[in-house]
Amino acid sequence: MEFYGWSGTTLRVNLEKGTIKKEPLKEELALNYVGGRGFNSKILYDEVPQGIDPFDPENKLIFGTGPCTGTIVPCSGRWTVTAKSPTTDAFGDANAGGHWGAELKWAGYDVIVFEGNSKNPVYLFIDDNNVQLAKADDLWGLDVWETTDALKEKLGDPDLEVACIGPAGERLSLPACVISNYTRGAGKCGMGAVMGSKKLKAIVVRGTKGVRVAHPEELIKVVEESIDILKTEDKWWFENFSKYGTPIFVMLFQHLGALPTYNWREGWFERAEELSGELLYNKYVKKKRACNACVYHCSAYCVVDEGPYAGTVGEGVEYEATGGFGSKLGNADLASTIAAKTLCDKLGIDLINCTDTLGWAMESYEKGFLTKEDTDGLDLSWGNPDAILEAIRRMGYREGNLGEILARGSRKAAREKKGSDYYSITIKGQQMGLVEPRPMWAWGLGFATSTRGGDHLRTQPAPEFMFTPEEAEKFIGTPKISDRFGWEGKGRLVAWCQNIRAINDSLENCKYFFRGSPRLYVEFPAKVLTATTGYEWTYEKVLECGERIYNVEKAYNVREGLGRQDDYLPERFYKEPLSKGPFAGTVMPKEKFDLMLEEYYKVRDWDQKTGMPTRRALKRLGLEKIANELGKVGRLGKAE
Amino acid sequence: MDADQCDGCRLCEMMCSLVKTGGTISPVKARVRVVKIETLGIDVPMICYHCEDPPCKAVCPTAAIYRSGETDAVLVEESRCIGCRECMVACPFGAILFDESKGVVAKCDLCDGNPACVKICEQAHPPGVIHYIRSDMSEKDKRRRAMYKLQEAAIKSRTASKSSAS
Amino acid sequence: MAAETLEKTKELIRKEHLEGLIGTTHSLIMKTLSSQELCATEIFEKIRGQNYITAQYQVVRAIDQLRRIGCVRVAGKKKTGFMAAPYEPSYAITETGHVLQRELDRQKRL
Repeated sequence: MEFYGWSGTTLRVNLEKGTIKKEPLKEELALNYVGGRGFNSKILYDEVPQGIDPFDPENKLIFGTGPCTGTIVPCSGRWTVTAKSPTTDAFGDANAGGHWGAELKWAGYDVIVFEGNSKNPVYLFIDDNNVQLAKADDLWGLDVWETTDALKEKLGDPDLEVACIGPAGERLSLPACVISNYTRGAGKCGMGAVMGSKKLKAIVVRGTKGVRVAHPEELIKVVEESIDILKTEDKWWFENFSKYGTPIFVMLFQHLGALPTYNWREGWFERAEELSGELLYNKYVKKKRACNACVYHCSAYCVVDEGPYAGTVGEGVEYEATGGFGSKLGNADLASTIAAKTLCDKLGIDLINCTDTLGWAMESYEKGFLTKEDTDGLDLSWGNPDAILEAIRRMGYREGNLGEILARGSRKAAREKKGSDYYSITIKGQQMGLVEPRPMWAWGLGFATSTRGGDHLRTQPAPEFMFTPEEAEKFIGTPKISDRFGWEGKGRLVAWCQNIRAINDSLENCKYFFRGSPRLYVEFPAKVLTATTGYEWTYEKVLECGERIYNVEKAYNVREGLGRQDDYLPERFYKEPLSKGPFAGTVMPKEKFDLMLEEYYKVRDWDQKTGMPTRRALKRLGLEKIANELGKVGRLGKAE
Repeated sequence: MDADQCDGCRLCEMMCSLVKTGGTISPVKARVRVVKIETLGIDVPMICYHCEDPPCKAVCPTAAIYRSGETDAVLVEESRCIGCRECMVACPFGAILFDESKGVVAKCDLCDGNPACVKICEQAHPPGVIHYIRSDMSEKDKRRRAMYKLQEAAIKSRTASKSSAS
Repeated sequence: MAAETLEKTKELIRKEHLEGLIGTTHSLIMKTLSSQELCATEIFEKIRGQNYITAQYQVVRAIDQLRRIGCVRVAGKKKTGFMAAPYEPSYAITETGHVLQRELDRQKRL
């Protein structure tokens, strides 16, 4: 069957047998799961059974792109990698931008499914129809930048797109990630470690076939219209995000009292100005760069000209770096955060897992749970940039006692140090995005109910602080969601955002295109899908697909044994009020959180007691088969 | 064209190929190509310069390459092209591509005076990087921008004092 | 005259896709601007806690909506050190704004 938008072909690569198969895309999958994350999640649920170890050959590593990836649809050039995760021991995926995803579509593929583990290091080379597995022994051990350059040289084309792992992934370090375009990390859930366990070093792509568009004139019109809407209805965001990128969040969240500081103890950092996006822009940014089809050019290309980190070059210097290596670790040295980011990119380490693990390590060191013997003599006091850089290096190479501890990621490392797990800020084993939940309740609920563990992108309820109360009432149903410190309506907001974000991820759209303008959330996905694929999509159908994708991921987790008890925030946020800054005294009482969680389960039609999807909810989404399977193993929710 | 401001998004390539093929987005079919050195943060849209004395026109054995009256663009008459690709060899910018499906060369034709790449670039991230302006305005524009850089400090301080006085 | 202004404003509201979205927040903002020129941060400090408003960005977008329908205008710049850039625009209410604000007192939502 010929498609518009989707390439129509899935690559299935068996790394143990060395076989490569091409499978046609099924229309049913396309119309019900849209693409990218949606495809990946359904394949994972169907093909990776309950109870396997993430490093076993039975785990599958799935790379997906969306129907609009590789087209002019703004900010649509992203890609998702999915597998059973070694950090959550349940569902996991990660997402990145750059240009690798677009190239894969132009080569003619929507999805690649890697099965089995290779005995020796290999890389996959995709050259349109010509797909080969090749030996990667000479690449094994190289860092991400070296690997990317070596492959371009070896294969004789400087424009090849490369996604690969570094030393961290090779050593199955849990904070390991997959990186494309040198600095675009698909960070979450330890996907780099899974790739390392399969001895898959890299995927190299050259694509010349392109993507077919069903209604080109209509698509151009929709694209131009949507850019106009963004500039009009989200003027402040469009102008400032283009200029400063995500580093803008340091001061943005500082003013909301939501800048995680000292391992999530506080939401306000006394030296935040020294880490501001404005300072980064004026002092270090030489150029702004963009991912495929992006209108923002939010990526900061930085060069440090002076000081102890002179000579450092880095790109994609994001908030998770300037805040993560900054306020989260009590460090006010902005240049050192750039150096730390570049080091993580080269080693192939996820910033979020890394910074949170270091945060746990520093607080544990402060409180005596980690000794100098554990740290091999390294002084892990707060705000020590040189120690931070050294710790990252050891984490990547799994060097010494400290390297071994950090390579486990904060949750599993904390299990070995009795009493320190209070300081491991994870949900379902996965670290959170850099937003303090105590003054941002929808974010708190979103973190707790994300299907891939503590994660801000599953929900990203920007509407909580960016919709006007009038917009909140019209589009969510109540103006009360504009109150960051209230529980009412948050369940509804979070469920709505999660369904929409599932579509953003399945289109492979960057969520920064959807910020304060309600029209974009509602109108954009259906319009671009219709113009690109030729099928008739509506807002309702799109939302239903999003809900379906979310329920499949939830079902995967429920099948692995997760339930209501895993949908909670770390105790710190219920027990410890913030003590500094304009929102000192703020805390999120557990009774109020429970009210939010129950409203959420009600909206989702999931069992209040266990948090599991009910047969009624699954049936409504066409997932009766999943309901039967869950029922058989006693993991189905009971409807009221 | 503002080479040092290009962010490498490739919307120009994708728009060009969509418009020229009438339905397929594929940079290899685009008449503008972004060339990058990622690790140095360098992105440059490589365009056809519609040279005053085009090497491509000079070497064409069948006179298939000519200059348009309207836009002054250097164009290819497909019916006369024999696909020898001498023009591709002659062009110092690599701006001409070969269309395998038709067996002829293809190049930028300035979209009859309304270049699609300019439109999307200027709209997506104003003020844009590729511009279609009168040739005399191009140098004027560049001079003014260079002047801003030289007089940056004076402009900044005088703008600040002007607004705080209001 | 006021009726005509109101009709024009309602038409602009429709044109800007803001139907049903102009309400208490906008009324509060315009009341605050009734006798002085203020920037978003200053307005936020005055009205926070009312009508569930808890973040500056809610006010930023609401002011911009008022600007799009001609009810406020940019009056100048203020140095606040907030909002990424050193300067924030300051706003003044327009005649149209006064008319709309009186109508919102009557109707609550437009």
